[in-house]
Amino acid sequence: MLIDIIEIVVSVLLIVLAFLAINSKMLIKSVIFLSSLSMLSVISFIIMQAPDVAVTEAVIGSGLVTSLFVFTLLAVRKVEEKI
Amino acid sequence: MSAVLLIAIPILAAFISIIVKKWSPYMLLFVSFGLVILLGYLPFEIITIGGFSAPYGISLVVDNYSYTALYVVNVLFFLVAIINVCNYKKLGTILLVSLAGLNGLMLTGDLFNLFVFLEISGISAYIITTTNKKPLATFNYLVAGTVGSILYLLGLIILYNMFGTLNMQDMAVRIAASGATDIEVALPFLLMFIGIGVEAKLLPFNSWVKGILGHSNKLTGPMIAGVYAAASLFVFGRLLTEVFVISDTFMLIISVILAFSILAGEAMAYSSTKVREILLFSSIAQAGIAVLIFVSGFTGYAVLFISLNGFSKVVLFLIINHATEVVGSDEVIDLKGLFVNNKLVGASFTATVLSLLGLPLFAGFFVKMGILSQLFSSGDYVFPAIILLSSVVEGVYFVKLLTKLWYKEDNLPQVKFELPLVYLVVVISLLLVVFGLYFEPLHEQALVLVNHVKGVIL
Amino acid sequence: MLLYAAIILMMLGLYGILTQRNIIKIIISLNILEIGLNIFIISIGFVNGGVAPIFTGQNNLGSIGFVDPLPQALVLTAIVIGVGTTALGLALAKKIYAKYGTFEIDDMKGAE
Repeated sequence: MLIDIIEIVVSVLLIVLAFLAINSKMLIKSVIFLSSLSMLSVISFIIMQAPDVAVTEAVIGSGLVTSLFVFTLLAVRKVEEKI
Repeated sequence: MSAVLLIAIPILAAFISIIVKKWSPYMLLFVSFGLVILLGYLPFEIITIGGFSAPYGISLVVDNYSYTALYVVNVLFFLVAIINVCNYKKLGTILLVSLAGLNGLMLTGDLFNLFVFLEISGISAYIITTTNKKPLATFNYLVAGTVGSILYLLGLIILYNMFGTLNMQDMAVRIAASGATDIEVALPFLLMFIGIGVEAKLLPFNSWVKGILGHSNKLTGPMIAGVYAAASLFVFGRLLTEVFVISDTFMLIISVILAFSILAGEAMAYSSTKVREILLFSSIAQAGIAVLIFVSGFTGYAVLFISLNGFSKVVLFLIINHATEVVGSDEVIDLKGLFVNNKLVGASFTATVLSLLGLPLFAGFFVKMGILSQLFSSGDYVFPAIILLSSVVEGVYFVKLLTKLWYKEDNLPQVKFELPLVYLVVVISLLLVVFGLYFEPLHEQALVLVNHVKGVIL
Repeated sequence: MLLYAAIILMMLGLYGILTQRNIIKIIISLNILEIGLNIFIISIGFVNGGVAPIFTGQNNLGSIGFVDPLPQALVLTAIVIGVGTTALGLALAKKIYAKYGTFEIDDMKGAE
């Protein structure tokens, strides 16, 4: 079954990405890994027949949260440059 | 007058106060005072939202228990708001949202709705604590609170998977009907216990308390230690009487946690040299005692204990935090002789402390006597021993603190208390004395609530 | 399979919160914990062979099994609440950076 294989791949990727997001040295890389983790969770929601949750997670979890993180890091960098 | 208005009015006022920023403090006062008045016209009923009957829709429960809890929380909230409204004008909106969240916590009869209100009141509590100007402590509080509520949600979902309902009463019925053993319900219950234990300051989950209350100001101290503590303990009581009733092995685990919480809290308070830390560690111990009484099944006395504790903590934190703001330090040595020039405030501080200790002539005496006699008559000797031991330790450090604060020496700290604060403090402490002498109404209320247990015996 | 992945994700999130000493990393771990919990809740409601719980012309005959819609509604609420917490945490992180000049908790001087 194709869907089973996709499920296994998504599960393994989820775990690997979570581990990378926690343990990578650069903060911006962590944020990117978190964003892709969120995107993969969208796929898992679709596999589990929850399209409305998938749409919400894609917009809010993957888009809005990532942009919040990036804006925070950018604002901090501006403070650094001033000093 | 429907109970929905208790949640709807503050939320609506919060939205309006975003548009018209200048009104927000007045709106806060008006709304919180109006809710206290409206509470008098609240009928006892179970309201179903949206016309779906109880197990399917969300229900709000107004019974004896939630009515008492609502009264205590709303009155406390109004008192704290009226003292602080001039100093923290920007926080009007947030305080309105937190009032809605707290009322929802008291009212709701649905486990998931409880989670939503837990988060609403939690997030507004984090924002309120930013006025301490200690962002790191607030961040720790945020992480602890969020992890706690996530664990609560996890336990809730496991329960939903097992029994297929989210309504509290329906859950209790179904757990009893399914014949589930206590081992099966143990994991979700413990997860939910942790989730609310974080907010209620029980011992293993309260690493945030020192950072928040140890640097608290006139708003955050009474708000977190008085209003929020009372609210989260009332929620604990709701869960422990409506849904779960603990017994046997489970009781042993929970009571070991609670006993550890009480004794460690008292020991930390004893060894501390800062006034605010003494108060916060003693409030940790008090939270442990309150849950211990709920676990033993004496709901009425637990409710009275929480209410008195909430009022006392508001008075103590108001006085000490005001003095700390003026003096700039909360070491006992720096505040030595604080009450020599402020005899009225000092007298009410002393009365409140003595009521907290449970000395005769004060309201706390009646409550503690009731709890102890009930526990003794049920044949339990370990809990009374713990409560008595904690009272002794409490007595030692509070009397030490009081003698320092009344000590007369040459350079006294110059602290002036504003008139509203003095009025409030004196009235509350007078009420404590009055109810200590004339405790029939308290006794009747306790008897009404004593037979409140409806839940399942695990 | 996704159920087990969700449990491992939650454990990883807790591990991150407990071990990391960087403010941003802690917020990221919180997010991982939340995503794990969301997948867990959805997988609780999943029925093998069920279809999405939306009434259409083809499947309102009652012969086809829906997946449980209630956990999905819960997750929608949980996602929004999670974003609120994350935004507040990031605002606090910015404040902390303005005060101490670093995100590392160990390097902050004067903080308890």
